[in-house]
Amino acid sequence: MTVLALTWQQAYHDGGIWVAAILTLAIFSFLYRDNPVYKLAEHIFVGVAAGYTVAYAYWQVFVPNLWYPLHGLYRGSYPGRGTEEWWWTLLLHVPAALGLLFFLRFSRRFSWLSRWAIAFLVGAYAGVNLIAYFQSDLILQTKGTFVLLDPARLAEDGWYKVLALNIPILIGVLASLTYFFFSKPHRGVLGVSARTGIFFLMAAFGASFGYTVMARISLFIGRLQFLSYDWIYPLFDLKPPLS
Amino acid sequence: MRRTVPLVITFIAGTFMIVSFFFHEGSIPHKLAGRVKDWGIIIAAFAVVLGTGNIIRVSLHKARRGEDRAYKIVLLVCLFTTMGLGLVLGVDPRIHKSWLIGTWREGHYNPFDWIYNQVQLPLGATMFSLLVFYITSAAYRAFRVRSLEAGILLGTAVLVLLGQIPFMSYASVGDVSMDSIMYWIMKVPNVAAKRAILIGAAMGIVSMSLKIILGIERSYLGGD
Repeated sequence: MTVLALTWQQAYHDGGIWVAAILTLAIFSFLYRDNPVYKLAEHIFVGVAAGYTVAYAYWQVFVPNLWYPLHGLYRGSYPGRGTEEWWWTLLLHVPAALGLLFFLRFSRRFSWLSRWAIAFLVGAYAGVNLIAYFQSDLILQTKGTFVLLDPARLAEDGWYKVLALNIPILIGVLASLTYFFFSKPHRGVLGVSARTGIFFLMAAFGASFGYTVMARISLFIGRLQFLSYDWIYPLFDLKPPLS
Repeated sequence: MRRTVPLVITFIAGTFMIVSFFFHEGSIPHKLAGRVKDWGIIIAAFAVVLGTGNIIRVSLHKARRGEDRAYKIVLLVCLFTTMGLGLVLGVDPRIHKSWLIGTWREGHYNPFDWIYNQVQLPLGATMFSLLVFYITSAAYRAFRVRSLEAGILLGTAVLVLLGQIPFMSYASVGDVSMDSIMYWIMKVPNVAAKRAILIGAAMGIVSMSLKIILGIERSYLGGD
């Protein structure tokens, strides 16, 4: 029994390493050119990802937020009838009904009813986003740009920080915003400001590019480490360097 | 009926979410707004199922027509296997009980976890890591220093790339360390431009949300 368990454990672990290594190499084969092995790995990825998303949505969204409360409501066990929570649970029929309306898209006759669910979702999140973005990205970012006008912050930060950080940020934000202002031609003062804005934008894009490349490189190094440390070295019983 | 009711639903839902913001915490409108946000997650989960149904429908249709048949069959097998195992065994056996298997204890072998760790994670990470080759070759072609703007783009990209290398924190240009240069680039021009983009995008989102709530923007309802 112990031998069998060990074999199963080994198959679970080693088989997994082999599958992951072969799939990794299959994806890397695209660097040569598009080929059937890559296409196979690509379709496996799409299938697994879609299946995972449904299972995840079921266990993490449906079961705790819809199934358990409604199940408890019908069994009368949760929550106490007439309490506030009971009413909220009763209202869960609304998202359940709207969600089910989505499936009418497959019906030719009633597909228009699925728009009700989309309309609710789009409307509710338009309202949420209007307030949220207005507060966080418009008000707070503008406030953060003008910190140098706050005497308390000025005393705390000191003149060095104001000259090196706050003033260039203020100039950069205003200049970059003028670049996005298309109601007047970029000539004269507006032209100079817009051109300065381009410099700031280019520097930001360069920084973002650098970060993106480094993130991809670290992923690539991670895959190479997996292939060598987890697959090749144990396979040939080699001792990994720096270990 | 087909277009007016959805527009009315959008208006009521959107207006309510805005108005509820001005009610104090603990009030019924405030609580209802919180619940509506949760409902959005539930309705979006139904949309996930609908999307997966669409993948199945399209793949079956293509397989029947003989278009990439073998690949589509592999896709469907992988989809149903992962979905089936996930639904039966649960995505986290330490927390959820499965109606078929009973309670799974930590340390038991879960084939669903195995698929996630040995298939989905490596495939996803490798797919994204492939981009490093394409992004670099695109940069090689695009980063010709033809103007001052292009020079700034290239210069900051190179400095940020070099700055990420651990031993570069010991390097310096004159008296200024590489760390300080990196810090300034990330704190000043990067923050300034990103902030301007954020402010511009927020204005766009606010105006688009208003257009949706007021029924001026209707493209989300589709045709006919």
